[in-house]
Amino acid sequence: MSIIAAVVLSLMTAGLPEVMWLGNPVGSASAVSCGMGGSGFMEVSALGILENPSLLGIADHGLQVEFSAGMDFFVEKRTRRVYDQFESSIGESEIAFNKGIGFFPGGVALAVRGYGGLPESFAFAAGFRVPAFYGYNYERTLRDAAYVVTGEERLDVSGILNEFTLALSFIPSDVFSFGLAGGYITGSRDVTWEVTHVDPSLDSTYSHRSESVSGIVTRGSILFAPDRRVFVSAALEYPMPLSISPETDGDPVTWNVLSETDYDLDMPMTLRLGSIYIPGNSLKSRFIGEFFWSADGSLEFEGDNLGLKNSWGVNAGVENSLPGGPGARFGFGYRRSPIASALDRMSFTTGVGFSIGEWNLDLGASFSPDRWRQTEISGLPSFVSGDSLIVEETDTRVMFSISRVFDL
Amino acid sequence: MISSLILAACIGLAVPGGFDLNTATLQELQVLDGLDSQQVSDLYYYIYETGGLLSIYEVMEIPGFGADELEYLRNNCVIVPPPAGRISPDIISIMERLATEDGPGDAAVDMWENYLLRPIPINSATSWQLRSLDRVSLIDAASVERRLNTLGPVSSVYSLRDADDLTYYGYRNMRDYISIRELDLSSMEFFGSYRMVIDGGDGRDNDEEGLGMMLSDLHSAICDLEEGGRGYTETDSIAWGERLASENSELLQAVNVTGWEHRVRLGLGDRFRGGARLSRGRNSTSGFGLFSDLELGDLNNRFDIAKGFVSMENIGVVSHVVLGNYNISLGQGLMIDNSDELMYRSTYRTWGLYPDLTSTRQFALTGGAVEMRAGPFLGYGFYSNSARDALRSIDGTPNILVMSTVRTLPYTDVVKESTFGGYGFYDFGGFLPWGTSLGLGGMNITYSDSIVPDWQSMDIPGDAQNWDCPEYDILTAGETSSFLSVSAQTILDNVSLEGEFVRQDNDAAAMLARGRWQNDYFYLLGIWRHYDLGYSNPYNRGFTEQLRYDDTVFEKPYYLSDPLASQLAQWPTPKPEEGLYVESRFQLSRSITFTKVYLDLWRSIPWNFNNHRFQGEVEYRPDFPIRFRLKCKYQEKTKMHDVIPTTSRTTEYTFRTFFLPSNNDYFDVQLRYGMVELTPNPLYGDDRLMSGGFLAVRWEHNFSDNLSVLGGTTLWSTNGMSQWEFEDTGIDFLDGDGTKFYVTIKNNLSDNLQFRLRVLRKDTFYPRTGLYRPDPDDSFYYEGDPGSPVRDFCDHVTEYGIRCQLDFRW
Repeated sequence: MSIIAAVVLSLMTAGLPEVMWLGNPVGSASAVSCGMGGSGFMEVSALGILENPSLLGIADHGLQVEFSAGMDFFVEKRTRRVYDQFESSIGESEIAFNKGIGFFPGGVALAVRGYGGLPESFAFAAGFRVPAFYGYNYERTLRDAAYVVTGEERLDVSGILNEFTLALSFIPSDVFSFGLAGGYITGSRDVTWEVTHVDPSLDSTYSHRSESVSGIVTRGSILFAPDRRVFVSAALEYPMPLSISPETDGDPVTWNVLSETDYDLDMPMTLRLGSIYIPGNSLKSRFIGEFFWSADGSLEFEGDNLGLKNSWGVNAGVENSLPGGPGARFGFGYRRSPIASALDRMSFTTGVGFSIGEWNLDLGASFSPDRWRQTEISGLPSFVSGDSLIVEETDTRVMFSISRVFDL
Repeated sequence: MISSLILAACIGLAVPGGFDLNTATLQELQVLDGLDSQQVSDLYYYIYETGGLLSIYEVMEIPGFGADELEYLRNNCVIVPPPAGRISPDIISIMERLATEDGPGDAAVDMWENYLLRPIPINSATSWQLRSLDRVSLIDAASVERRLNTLGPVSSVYSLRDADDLTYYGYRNMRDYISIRELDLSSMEFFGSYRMVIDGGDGRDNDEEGLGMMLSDLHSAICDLEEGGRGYTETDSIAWGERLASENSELLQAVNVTGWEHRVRLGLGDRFRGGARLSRGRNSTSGFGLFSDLELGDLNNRFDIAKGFVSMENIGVVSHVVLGNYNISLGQGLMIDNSDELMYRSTYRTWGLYPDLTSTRQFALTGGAVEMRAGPFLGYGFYSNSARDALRSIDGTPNILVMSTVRTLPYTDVVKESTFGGYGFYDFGGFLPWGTSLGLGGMNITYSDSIVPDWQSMDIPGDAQNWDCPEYDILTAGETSSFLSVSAQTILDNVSLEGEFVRQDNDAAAMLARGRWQNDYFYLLGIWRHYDLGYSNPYNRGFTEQLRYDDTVFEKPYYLSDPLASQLAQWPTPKPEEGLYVESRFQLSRSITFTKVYLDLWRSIPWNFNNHRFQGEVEYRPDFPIRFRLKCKYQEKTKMHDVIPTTSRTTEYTFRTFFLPSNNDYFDVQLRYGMVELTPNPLYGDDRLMSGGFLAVRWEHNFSDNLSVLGGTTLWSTNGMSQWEFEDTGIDFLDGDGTKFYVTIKNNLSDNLQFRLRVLRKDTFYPRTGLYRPDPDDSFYYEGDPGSPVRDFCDHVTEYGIRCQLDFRW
């Protein structure tokens, strides 16, 4: 189960659906950044510029276009600890094993720099990106004490957040550039929970909740080149409150939801810092490092703090041009969860890039494991009896992108 | 001039005239009218991205460039190749070599890394400095000192090769850490390094002393206590219950915690050094207020080690003074060596005084230390005041010092330790053979509270196990202990003799004597040691076969009131023993070498059991790229058990082959099988034969000098005998049956920046069968859900490790 799925699940069941905006972050939505630790904030591509508009200051002259899409594969195992008569643990027994594949569009964008109709020091970009998506499936066979199948439980979470963004950059010199971007967010999330029983005398459960989301996000960034081989950037992302409209049908559930009617939800301000270093070596290496900090801890709903923690993360990645071959990338990412430290996550990424004529084709992949006990997520009720439920999960993502720079 | 032109032409430099392509700006390149604007742009970015052309012919690598462009550039430009990297490849390759099986400790690597960055000026070096280098013997160090004092300074490091009695092996191990540079005390050159390590990943920590095992042990103890099966008084029962529950809660917070390390070193010329470290280990509990006097918010809980130092060198007779954290290791390490690692059978150790940014916490010395040198006299003085962890009796009294893998509040910073001491050496070099000296030292340790050993507080009164641990029982209550040490060493041609004798104020003593005979193809090492049962110096790191609390009740958490007390089994001081160790390496021919052969005969002092251990390894190298090694190990050891002593006989065979199919590839295949046979003991029933083995394969491919990828996989199967395997960066514990694979990417981006990333997946399988039993009193159950029956299952443990290291140097 991916972190979003974990988050969504825990929130949904633990009474924290308000953080649904976390979703499964896609980053800059580019396969290049996916392979470099998810370092999308400093990825100088059309999709990366939507997140950091000051990157236009070092973007190629011309019309740059990029499209990307991806696939997310999660595997989840749930276990319970078994003890012997001496109260010693003899291991963990599996009670559920779930896996699922979700496809998502990464985005499509164009960036223009050096267009004759624009002043030389101005450039712009526009596009559509997917900042997050939701995808999680859970299935479990119910059994009685004699190990006989008595029913089935199923949970399905799906949805996507879309962002339509326009970015503008002012480039007064080779050393500085400034960028501004604004985006409109829209999307939805659906949650379905079903419990069926073999015994016809027992009532089945069916519950469905659908939420539509809309909002505005703004970004401002600055790029500074202290050296011809080093580029440093800082940005502030300030989202307006999200408007959420829920609809429910089926059986009522005990999940604690913020509101059954339309409501607004604050979004956290995020500060980002990043750097690109081009050392100049036979591999034509490029190193990217990023840091972000998000003020989740300050979020409130109707005057009550949502009980989250400020979160932060780092990403770093390297791209090398292999001798006589493709570009090879690798990296890592670390992200502190605003929910609980048990959901902090580290990922390993890798990727390759090919040039075919004027076109660039890139593949990126990331792998992220996690393991947590349900008792570590505050308020999370049990899917099973007892309190030793442990979730082991891996999230593997593969992304593809294609890009090209056209002369103007 | 003519010769330089010829040289330039030979190596492909373009002559004459023009400007240097490698340093030209884009605007400067645009004046080259023999290239179109696209070619100029491509050329500029090629030079920018690759760091510079090594030869004019390299322009042919740029798409769109042909013979015409080459000819044009040859006639109009010059190429000044970029300077070669100085630090990065050397440091990385040497540091990897250091991290090998039976490799050196953390403190030693730290010290050597310093020397890699700032080599020892060889012409003013002493044997005291050189002997602390990696695998440089006292004979090698003294031969260099003799060479310098009798024949004068050398003009190159290579000139040391003519030093009498310096082996090639010693020279090779020494040369990376020394240079012919002169000390420049007026220099204010600023240099330094920063390292960041993130050590994460998720999974169960099933190592023998891992967090998962501790949690399991705590759970068992808590349940046992709740069922009233421990025989405590009511008051003690409540107190133990609260303590165990509190520890369990603390340890749960550490599950899957990511490890972090930030380490900075700074230097100014040859005089000033400074450094700091903030870190928290993977699966470590929180920091307990590193800077409790400062309001630093979350920072105090985010790290559990904070270290720092400032130091000055070469101030008259004061050759080195350190304020802050420092390591000090003198003599044979019997009186003072404050690293936290006791390297079993370690025959080399770091020596002297040096700053400390290692992960050592329990043995960190915090205060000041000085090294003084005046003619033949070398003196050390040190003072430290540091908090120490200790186990507490149930009434709160400090019971015994402990080095915790996971620190919990009840045992954290229990006492303050004040340590001071000094050691003086008189060097008879010149008068007597170089390397000859006599030393005298003393040390006093005082604790803020009396430490009162109390086995009754450790033991579970109601269990069937009798308390029996002479290593613990001999300890006496007190606040102070002091030590007096005498050491000596000398060199006779290619033979060295060394020794140290230390007496504690309780009349217990420790002694070690060693002799070494060596030449280029052979060495013979002999070590005799004796550690009295009552010798309880926490800074004793003498040569040994076993840790002090090995094979005692502290290895069995379920025999202890608090299972976490079993961490005392890792206390890094030698076991009371007396023994003779003989080791040799000899090369029979160019293709056959006995790489390491040793025999250790030792006697356990408390029990008077005789033990022995033999290991032999032979290498056959039919051709340079291929090596085969066969290793055989046999050990017979007796330990005290209830009913009767038990003797274990361990046999282990390892076959290994190294293969270099090309300059860029390296294969390593290792096959190991081992068996342990136990003499009959009613405690074991019929389970007296255990076995286990593994097959490990590694392949490393170098894409270039700057990028390499290493991949490895291991398959193992054990039947009671778990295995220890050395990976590329450390030792791994293999239990059950399983597989694992890992990939390490090493990328030297430049002299300034290195990036290393490692990812691992490890799957272990423990089949659990025969679980369903109808009798509820004899059943297995789920935690919190005793009503659900447990069926047979296979416990499949998946562990992931992701480790990232960034090194920045300047």
